[in-house]
Order: sequence, then C-alpha cells, then structure tokens
Amino acid sequence: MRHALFAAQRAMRDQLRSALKRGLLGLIDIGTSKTACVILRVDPAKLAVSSHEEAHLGGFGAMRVIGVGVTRSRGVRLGEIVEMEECERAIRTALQQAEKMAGVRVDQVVGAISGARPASFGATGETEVMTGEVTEADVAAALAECPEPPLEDDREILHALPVNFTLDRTSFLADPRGMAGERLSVDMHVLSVAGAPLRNLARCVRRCDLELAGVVTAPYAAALSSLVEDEQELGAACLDMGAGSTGVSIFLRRQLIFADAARVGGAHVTRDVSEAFSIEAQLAERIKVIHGGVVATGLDDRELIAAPPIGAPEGHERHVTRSALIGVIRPRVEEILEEARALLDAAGFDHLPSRRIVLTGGGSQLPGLEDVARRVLGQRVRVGRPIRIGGLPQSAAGPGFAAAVGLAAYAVRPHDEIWDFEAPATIGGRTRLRRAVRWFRDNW
Amino acid sequence: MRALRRALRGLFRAPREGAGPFERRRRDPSPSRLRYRLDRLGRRGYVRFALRRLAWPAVAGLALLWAWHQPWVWARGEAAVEAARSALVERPEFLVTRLRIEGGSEGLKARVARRVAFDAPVSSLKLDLRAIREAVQTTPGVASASVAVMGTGVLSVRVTQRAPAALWRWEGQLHLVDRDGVVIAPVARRTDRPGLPLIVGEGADRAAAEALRLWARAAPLHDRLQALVRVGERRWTLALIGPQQVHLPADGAERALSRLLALDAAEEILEREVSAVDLRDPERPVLRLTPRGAGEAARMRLVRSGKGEDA
Repeated sequence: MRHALFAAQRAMRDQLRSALKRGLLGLIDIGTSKTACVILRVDPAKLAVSSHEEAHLGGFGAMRVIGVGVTRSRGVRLGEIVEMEECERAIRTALQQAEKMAGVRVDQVVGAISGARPASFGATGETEVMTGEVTEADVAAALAECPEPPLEDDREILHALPVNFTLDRTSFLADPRGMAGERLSVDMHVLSVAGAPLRNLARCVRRCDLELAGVVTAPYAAALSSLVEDEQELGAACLDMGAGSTGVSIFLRRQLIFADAARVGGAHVTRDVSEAFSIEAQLAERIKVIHGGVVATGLDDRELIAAPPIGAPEGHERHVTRSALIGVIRPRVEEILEEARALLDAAGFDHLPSRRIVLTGGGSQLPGLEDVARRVLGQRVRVGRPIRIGGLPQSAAGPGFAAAVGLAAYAVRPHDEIWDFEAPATIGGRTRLRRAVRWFRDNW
Repeated sequence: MRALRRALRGLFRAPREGAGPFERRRRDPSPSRLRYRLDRLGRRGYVRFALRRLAWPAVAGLALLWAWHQPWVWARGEAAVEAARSALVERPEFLVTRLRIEGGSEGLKARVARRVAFDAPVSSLKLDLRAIREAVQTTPGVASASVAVMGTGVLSVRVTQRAPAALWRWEGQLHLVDRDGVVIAPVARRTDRPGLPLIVGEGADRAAAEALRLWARAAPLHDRLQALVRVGERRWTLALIGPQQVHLPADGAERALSRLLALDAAEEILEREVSAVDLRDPERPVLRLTPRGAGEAARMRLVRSGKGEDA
C-alpha cells in the first residue's frame, strides 16, 4: 500500500496529537436526526501513563467531558450531508452550546461519519524480519507490503487497521514488536468510504473554523463505546441503529474486522408512521418515541393515541390505537434488522466463535426491540448503552450518543493504523547516490 | 424591545399554514456566522485577558485623556478644588484675628505694623510667614524678627530693635546707624543725638564698627572730635574743632590713634598751632602748622638766629 495515499490521514493524526497534547478535543457526531458535540479535557500526562501501563483501560481515566451540545440535524440524509449550509449551522449551534458549557474554545474535532457506504476489505502483507527481532520498521514494512484494496471510483480509505500479526507460525499476535522470528505477516482490515460525503464533512467542519483531527466511521465508534471488553475480545457485532442508517460492526480479538451500514433507520420508521396515519412528521416522531413499540399486547388495543391528520380543522380529533402504531412500526423494524442480518451474513458472522449482538443507537430504545431482534438475529442479543465517561451529563449518556462517546474512546486509545507507522525507506542505491551527489553540489 | 420586535413580526408575517393559534414558530437557534466567529474569538486566551484585564483601564485612560483636553473639565475641576480648599481654609480654627508685636519702641512697632499690613481676620493657611518675617526684617531699625501663629488666633511678631550707635552723614542727610552700619532711621539734626559719634563719607557705614572702636579709643578727645571722615573708603580722618585734622592710616589706625593720644598727653600737640597731624606713615608722623603757626615758627627761627630783632 502506498503511503502517499494517506497524506490527509497523517495530517489529521498530527492535529489529533497536538489536540491531545493541548488537552482539549472536540467530538462531533453528525447524525441524521441530531448533531452532537462533546468537548473533552484530556490530561496528557495521565494519558501517556495509561497508554503504557493500563492499556486495557484505554485511557478512559485520562479524559473528562466538560461540554456537550446537541441540536437537531438538518440537511443530513441517510447519514450523509446533503445541505452544507444547514449542516454547518447545526454544527455551529452544537459546538457553541458545548463551548459555552465548557467555557473553552476547541479547535480540533474528531468527526463521525455514519453513512457514506463503508466497505471492508481484508489484506495480507508479509516481510522478512531484518534483524531477527521484530522492530517497528518491520511492522511498517509488512503493512506496506499489503496490496491495495480494489478501490472503485472516488472512494477513500478511512481506516486501515492491522488486525492480526503472524510471526513464523505463531498467529494471533496483538503486538509483535520485540519478538524473535524471521517472517512477519500482517492481516489488515481496510475500510473505505465514498469520497464525496467524507469531503463534504471535512468542508463543513472547516467552514466552522475547526480543524478535523480524524474521521471515524460511526459503526466503529459505536462499537468502541457499547461493546464491553470481553465482547470485543471474544467476538461480537454491534448494531448502531441510527436515524438514517444502521451501522454494523464486528469485533474480534479487540479489533474491528468488519463494518458496514444499511441505508435504513429510525427516520424511515417515523416516515412510515407519518404516512400510515397521515400525521405531521414531528408528531409522528413524538408518537413513535413516546408510544412506540414492537410487541403488541392485548392492552394496546385499548390505548388510544391522539393523532390529528394533516390539515385537519381545529378541534378535529382522531385517535389511533397503540396496536395499530405497533403494527406500522414492527415491519419496518424487522426490515431494518433483516438488512443488518444480511450484512452480518455477508461478513460471515456465523463463523465467529461467539455470536453476541449488541444493539445501540437511538433506535435501540424502542420497547420490546430485544425480542424482535432475537427472533431475527439469534438468541444472544442485548441492548447496550455506551460506557460512562467522567463528566458526561445524564442527558447525553443514552444509547443515542453511542457514536459520540465512541469518538472519545477512539481518540484516547492507542493508534495503530497504517499511517501511524513510519513509511519504510524504499529508495534504492541509484537514488541514494544521486541524492548524495546533489547534496555535494548544493553545499560546495 | 424584544417583545416589540415579536409583535411587529406577528403583524407583518402571515400566519403559517397549518399552525395553530397557540403554536409559535420556533426561532432558528443556530448562531450566525459572525456571531459564531465572535463568540469563538472571545474564547481565545489573549482576547479574554484583554477584555478582562486591559479593557477597563484602557477605557478609563481614554476617558481621562479626553477630559484632559476639555477646558470646561479643567474649569470645573479647578472650581471644585478651590471650593474644597476654601472650605478648609475658612474654618474658624485657622482664623487669625490679631497682630501682636513684641519688642522695640512704639515707633518701631508702628513701622512694623505698617510694613506687615495685616488685615484681620485671615486664615493662617493663607499667611506666608516667611514673607512676613522678611518684611519685618527689612523694616529699618529691626535687627531680627521671629514670626509665629499662636493657637489663639494671634499672629505674634517678636522684634529685636537695632541700637543706634552712630550718626552717618550721607549726601547731606543724617542717618542713625547701628553698630554694623545699618541705617535705622533718618535724623533731622545733629543736635538731636549729641552723644553719638558722627561718621561722614562714602563707605563710612560699612566701616562703622571700626569707627566706633576709634571713637571709644578717642575718648579724651570727645569734646573736640567733630566727626570721623572716611576717606576713599579706606582710612579715617578725625575732624577736630579748630579746624584740625588727624589723618589715620588704613592699617593700624587704632595704634596710630593711641600714639597721637600719647603725644598729645606728653606734648599737647593738639593745643598748638597745628592744622593737621598726618599719621599715615608710622615711621614719620608729619605735622602741618596753621599759617599763623608757620609765621610764628619762621619768626622764631629768625629770632634764634639773631636776626629777628632787626627785622
């Protein structure tokens, strides 16, 4: 893989590093229904200690949320920005709210991109260990040996994570540095997304006078915050049920091995409700959140919900039963889950040793969702909430903020993507000689 | 203000389609780009510092600078300061109502009072004691003076009068001078002060001390000594009735005078026909005879030579 591909990623990583050094970092999750901004204060000294000694804690103790701003998203559809101006205003609103709460100014933000058609590829690279002991240069060389994934038109690599190292015949190595061996091979997980939504996001953020310090795909971020450590280790899938898209990510041995997103989500449920009862979209959303569910009981036939149709004259009243509402919601939820199921099947989730599935995201708050999900996805399903970070207000601790909290987890965990390694020196003898001659000519 | 704006908006905007009467369209909560930029600028460290720590002093400084260049501010300020000052100065505790002069003769007191020109009541803070003391001391006849404000509202001037020691004739006018030659007062006639020596001539006042010493030494001649004449601001000549003159040297005048007194006591030279005794050369005193004396002397020489009888 050519390192030249990752100039932008390197620049963003530099920004992230400087932000962590300064101790202030913003996280922006631009979702289809809401835009959330979280401001983190990171203690750089604690972070350095935790990354060395308590790596399994992932540096959570070193950070603290000092500001949160949430506003309704406009101009975002299916997790992609479709109206720059509106999206920019949403970012400004959320960021200003968070800055006001924190009383500081942030310049670097990590963004989450929920749609943009993520696609996962596997790649394997192999190299000879130069000195008999694996060094960082060997790892970088092995990573560089990985073939480039077949990128279609206008796609960008968003993540390139080494998943597994094999040294001679020993596999499942997390960190081979310092070990003795001769042949080092690495399995890499490369995640690419469509380029245009990514560039739109970058442009939106830049127009708000912010520096982008990294872009993370939302399923990855949600899984980082919602899967507990053992699930990440043993293998689990995370369903991030957002408004515009449903992200699917699979973890095994603490590594993301697959991520994809189905372009269907909670906003579709709302639209179904709105169309079925011909009520306003805002009212439909409200009814869905307050009265919605997926498992009907006998009691629900008698529970009436006021739902005046669009354009009804003043005083006109109409009621729908809750079971009718559930009858509208349930097929769409089942469809969403089946879409996710299809994605999981395509990824070969059935072959994993542990097939746990964690539902998170705003859509996972539907009552009774777990039962339906069991029926569609298998028995090991649970509804997960993101981990707690110090200082996170209760209002921002729900499953809807799984991606935003996951961004914090991403920012403070050790970074080992391909662009975090130095590019191996590939210059040959002739180039080297030419450079030496030129240096002489320039200096004497 | 905000209510007014809302009312205006309600007036001019047609009600939204489908919105109930109690439903109000919510304002867009997003900040404008300018507002957002300003807000973020205000969160920069140096901007916060400037606004919190430097803005108020800067505003105060500018205001002061502006006020400094406003004449009416100056006028107002000066008036206020003056009012405060006078309010303090006019307090009864500081009032001086009386002038008390101690020492010296009645005439001198009157002169001093005239010189001070004290118009009571006046605040003690307004009095310039140094100037008053200067004025009192430059009054003729005052040797030294001390001026003080007493606690009871009395301006006390203590005066030491100069003692008249001699009369000085200068440009036809008689002045009373003290030991140091300082003029005390004019005198109309010599006979007003018969007991005092008369000194004459330019610079005689400055050498008054020497003149007084000569006068004391010349006590046997007092009934005949008319005046001490200063010659060329250098030496003294005693003018005796007769008229006789005794020229004293510039240096050692007293010794020369003692010698003259001794000569007079021994030889009674001043009783003789001598118009001037010149003692300026200590080696050789010279006598000048009167014309009559000179004639007598010539005749005596002739008589002694034996020819006088014939002539």
